[in-house]
Amino acid sequence: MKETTVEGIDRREFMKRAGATAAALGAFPAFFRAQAQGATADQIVKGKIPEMIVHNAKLGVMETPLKILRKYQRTPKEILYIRNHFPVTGAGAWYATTEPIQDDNWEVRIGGLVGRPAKITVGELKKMKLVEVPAVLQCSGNGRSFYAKKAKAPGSQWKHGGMGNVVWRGVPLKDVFEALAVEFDDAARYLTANGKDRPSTPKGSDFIHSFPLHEVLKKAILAVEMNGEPIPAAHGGPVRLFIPGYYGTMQIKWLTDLYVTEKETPSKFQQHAYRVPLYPVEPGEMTPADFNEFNSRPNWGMKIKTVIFSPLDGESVKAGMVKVTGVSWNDGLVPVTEVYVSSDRGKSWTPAKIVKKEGPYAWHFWEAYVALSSGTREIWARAVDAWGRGQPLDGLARWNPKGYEWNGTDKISVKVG
Amino acid sequence: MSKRTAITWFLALALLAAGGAFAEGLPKGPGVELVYAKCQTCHDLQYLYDSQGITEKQWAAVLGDMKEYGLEVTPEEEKKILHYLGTYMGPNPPPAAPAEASAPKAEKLDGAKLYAQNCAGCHQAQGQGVPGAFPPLAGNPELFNDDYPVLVVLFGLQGPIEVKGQKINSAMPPFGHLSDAEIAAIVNDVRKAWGNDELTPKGLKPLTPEGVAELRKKALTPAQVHEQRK
Repeated sequence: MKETTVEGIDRREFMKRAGATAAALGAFPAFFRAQAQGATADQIVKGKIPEMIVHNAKLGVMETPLKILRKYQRTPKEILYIRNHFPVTGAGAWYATTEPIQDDNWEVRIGGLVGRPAKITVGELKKMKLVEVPAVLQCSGNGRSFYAKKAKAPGSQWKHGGMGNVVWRGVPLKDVFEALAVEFDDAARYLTANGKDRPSTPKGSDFIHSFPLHEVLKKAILAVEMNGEPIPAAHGGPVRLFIPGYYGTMQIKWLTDLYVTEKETPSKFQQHAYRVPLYPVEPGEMTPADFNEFNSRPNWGMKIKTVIFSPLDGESVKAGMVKVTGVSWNDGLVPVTEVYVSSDRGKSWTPAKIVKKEGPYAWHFWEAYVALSSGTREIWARAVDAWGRGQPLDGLARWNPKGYEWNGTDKISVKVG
Repeated sequence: MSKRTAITWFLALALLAAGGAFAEGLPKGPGVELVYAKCQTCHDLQYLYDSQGITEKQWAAVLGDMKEYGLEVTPEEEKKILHYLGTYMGPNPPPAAPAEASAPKAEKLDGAKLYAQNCAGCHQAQGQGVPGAFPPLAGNPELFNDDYPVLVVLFGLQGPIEVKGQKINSAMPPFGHLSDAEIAAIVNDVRKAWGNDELTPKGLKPLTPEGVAELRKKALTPAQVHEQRK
């Protein structure tokens, strides 16, 4: 039977013409390229929700829309952000899932400037005394997109959703070292950690990080559980080094090696990426290749930060007293003591009440009421900790070449009716 | 729904899909083929779209970073890529080039040179591949599995494969941005290089641009190409 379109051409003829048009546009290759890269989060990492914002399909990099993130006090694995450095295809396909890796024989080797090398298995770790640490996990690039108002910083344009609030459970690193009678050389300054992921090409730098030894000995754990179950493969199971209060990049996933070292690792991920200058720089003044130990520092402890959860940017609210809620946190060294909210672009500030926190490293949930009259209005929020460390009124003041550690006063705009 | 309505809908959807996808492709310009060939080894192009608009100096720094992370380029290639990124993905890109600018040139194509530009980043200079990550092309019998190698180049590949006893579960991006003549030149060259000529079945005719054009109409997904492997 001959099928006819509105234009009166038959189906076969139509297909021919449509094909020719698309081919003339050069659209067919682009279409299939887009299709290959347009996969939703659940297709990229099994167990994630499709609503995640995908920043890089091949690497499985994704963030959580705030609208979903704010629903949970503890961020479930299905919606927790992911930042990987090597593809979740090929050699990395085994961690493209929220299912855990069941491997009690998985080994963590300990070496470097120690009396003798040692190792411990996940099975042995699970039998030791485990401690629980509710803590924020946040990408150091979280909020990078906001720097674009001054000058775009290259890389995934994260909004606020490169973070979550999860509960880690594991063995304190100090206990592990004690149990294995690990002795340090006098020159020992850093702990250097590596995981099982490997670069895509043979000459690429491996993803390795170093941290001040004295500090990680005080608080790091070898985590084997997240949110009360074995750590999902996508989030670094079966064992992840977790240093409470540090940025996510430092929390080495799929941990295989711990070295005690005199210097920071030469990995480019420590030397040129994941660093911020020690002083303010203007766009164009400095590139990551200029970073050294005297002019920059790694993304270790998290800067104090606040994110408004309700209302969200662009939402409509009723005029009058409006309830504002959100979260604040810092590196956990001292408590977050004050959170302030402003509805007049910083002329006056209302103290918010911190209503819940599960520990020094976790989200501090707060709420406040501000008076809003009709029109388009801004709500600002910022926090201060016991050391007096606060957030810049204009986060752009901390612009840096790679766009890390955004902690500007959170500013949203709402329609008040 | 009547058939007429269904077909009208198909027309609308097809144009929508094509239009949306069109916006996704990298802007055309000299050097774009190097960007497609080199950058997708480690990450997909989203990273480039996200960084679109940064200055040439910033792109130079990004390229410097990428070399540290494993990008393998010659100084000439790096110069071309940087010029492309700084111009077409920079703060002041030129207006989109007319479609005919991308029409293949009539000049004689050098398959080996095209291989070095587009394929060697992953499959390596001697077609030896990278164990576990990128399959070898030297001595790979799939090169003679009918139209399969052409489909892989045109539409990409997704799914587990086994090559010379080596299991690989990776993804190859589509190289459909190359012209029919370029793809024919590359496949013909690879089928002869590194001792592959010994695997060539007798009487196999060289691939022609017309042959590639015919296969291009199949418009497969990378997963569908994987099906064709069997």
